[in-house]
Amino acid sequence: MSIRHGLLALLSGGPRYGYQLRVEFEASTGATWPLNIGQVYTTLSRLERDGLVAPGGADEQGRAVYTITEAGREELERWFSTPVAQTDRPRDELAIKIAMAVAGDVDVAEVIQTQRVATMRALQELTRAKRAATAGLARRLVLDAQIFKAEAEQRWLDHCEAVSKEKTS
Amino acid sequence: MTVVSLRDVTREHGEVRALGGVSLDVSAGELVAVMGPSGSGKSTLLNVAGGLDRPTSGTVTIEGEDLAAVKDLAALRRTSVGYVFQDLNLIPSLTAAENVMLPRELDGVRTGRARDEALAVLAEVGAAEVADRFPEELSGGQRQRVAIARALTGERRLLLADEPTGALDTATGDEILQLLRTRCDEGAAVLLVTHEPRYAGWADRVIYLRDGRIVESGAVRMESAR
Amino acid sequence: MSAFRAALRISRRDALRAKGRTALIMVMIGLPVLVITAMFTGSATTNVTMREKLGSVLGAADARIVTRPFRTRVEQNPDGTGIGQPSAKRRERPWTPGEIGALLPGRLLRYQANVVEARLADGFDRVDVMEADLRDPMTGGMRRLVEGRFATAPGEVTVSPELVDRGVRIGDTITVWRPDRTVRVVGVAEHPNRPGVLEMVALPEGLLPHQNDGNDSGWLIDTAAPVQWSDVRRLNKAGLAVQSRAVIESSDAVSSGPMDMHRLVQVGVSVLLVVTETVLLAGPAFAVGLRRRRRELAVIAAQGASARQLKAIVLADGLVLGGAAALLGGRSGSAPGC
Repeated sequence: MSIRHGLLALLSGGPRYGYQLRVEFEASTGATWPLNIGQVYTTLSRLERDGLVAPGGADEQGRAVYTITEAGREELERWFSTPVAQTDRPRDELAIKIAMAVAGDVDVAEVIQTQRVATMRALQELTRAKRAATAGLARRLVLDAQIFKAEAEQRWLDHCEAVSKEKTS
Repeated sequence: MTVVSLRDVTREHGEVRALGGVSLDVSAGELVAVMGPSGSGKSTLLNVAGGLDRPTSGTVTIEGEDLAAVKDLAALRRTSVGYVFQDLNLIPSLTAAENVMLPRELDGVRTGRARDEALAVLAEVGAAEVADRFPEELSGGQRQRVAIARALTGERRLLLADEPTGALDTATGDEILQLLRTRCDEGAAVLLVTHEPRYAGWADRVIYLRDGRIVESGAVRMESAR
Repeated sequence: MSAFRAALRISRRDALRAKGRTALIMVMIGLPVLVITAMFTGSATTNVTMREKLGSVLGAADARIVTRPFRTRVEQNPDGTGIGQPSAKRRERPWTPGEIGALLPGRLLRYQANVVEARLADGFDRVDVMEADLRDPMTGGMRRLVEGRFATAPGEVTVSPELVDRGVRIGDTITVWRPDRTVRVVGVAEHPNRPGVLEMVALPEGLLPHQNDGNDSGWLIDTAAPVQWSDVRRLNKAGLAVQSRAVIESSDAVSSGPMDMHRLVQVGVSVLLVVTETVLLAGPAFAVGLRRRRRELAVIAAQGASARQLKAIVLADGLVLGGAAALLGGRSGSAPGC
């Protein structure tokens, strides 16, 4: 998954130690995907095992520093040049839920409305976070990505409602 | 403080019921988004709330004044309510500054003073540098900024926006919402009709209209972070 | 007040933006105005020249006696226009100075006039010919000698300055076609109120053949007393038309009378027609503009314009366009008169 590639991307900017990687990762993606330090070290040791990063000794305060290897750069380049396939994403729980609701004996409109209220609340929170995020283009764009996704979901819900209304009337 | 208040408002166009008993309050500093499928009565709601249209029944109160008792709705629009539409907002034969001056001039304010006021508001919305350009020389975003400036001249505190982002790309649309949001935070009351959830996300409160009725309002209400 | 200023500003800018519509309305309003003004200017100037051209027609004479083809009773206006005469069997014998003298005593001076084809540097052209002995003091004021001398013998002519511009010089000969003659230029003489006319002046029958009665020929007469309207009527009865200095100069005789009343009615009717035409044409032109502006008016209304202010904006449109068109039409209509 992308934590591997996220760390590789950060290391491509220069050698870093574990805690630094965690801070920088969160700074650029927003607090969207919180990362604990354990995950960072586990990932780093796997990257080291695969030969993508190499331990680069310690800095003056004695913290273990990692650098990206040539193989690591190649892997990073490959990642950036490969588009994300639709099938790589986890199964969409909401779509399954609505499908089941339509097939079964459930008030679809109610399910849709409940979801819509929740999605709108998420959208409002994301917007508020975006307004607060004055610095950092990377962070803003990550937030925008989520706003667009939420919006798409909202539109899809509108669509579901319109179509199911047509069917029943 | 409530700037505009609707109580059991209905509006019928002949046999068609555009609004069926809508109650709604918008306070100073509040941004309320109205969503709903086309034909759900969004624009009618906006027109009734701003005195462009009179309700068939129910009451509309703007800054404590019952619209049913107001004879000169035009004067009310000049002094209390600002409108921003999707497009064709600005008068093509007037420069940006002259467009902003217009409501003040219609209100009898001297031309020189109206111009000073217009330039000040244009600066506030970040459009000072386009003051002397004609609308066709402006980008869509700049046009909406000028339209918002015009809606705000003369201490008007109620701003009604009907799909103000309709013709804009999403980045520019966000800028316009940012601007509306800022005006709100400075004390204006904004009622925004939009069909795009991403812009509704900027609101303090989102209202869903369906067949002239509010189907959801309270549930989407957010506790203000401020 | 500032609201109306704003209205005028919108109208002015719209007029400049929609150039096609503006031009259309300007033409629709301006053209009739132009026609009216031109008509008034025209009639005003012709009224003046009636008296102004006395000098060129009569010189210093008291009257001009114009022969007619018949000797039946002549009907004419006091100023010598509108001449009519019932036809009859043509008389073989032409008027003689003696016969005229019996009707109206005075000194007579023969004149005749026609148009000939003259060969100029760039080909044949139509040239007016006036024949009278300009050395006679009775002709004083008919033509002004610019250069050289007046004709003193048959075959000599003076030419108008326009002919000089066309390449004719003193000492040149000009070949005339119909009658086929060659004349010699001895001077340049200017017509007092027809600048630009192509004209030659010769002695009577010094260029033209003898012209019969009724063929733009007759006499100037110098009488002891001014020729009165009663004298004119007397000569009319005998079959002669008269242009009398005294009658024409007394403005009452010129400006009143049944013919002028008739003319007034004519002018009135034309003005009415033109005004009606303007209303019929300009109305739709404005309406077309208004339909296109409905959206704009709606936006202005949303900004708080009252119904009265919206009307003011439409009115401002008419004021700007109509005013400009009327001014333009009026100016160009009166231009030829200045």
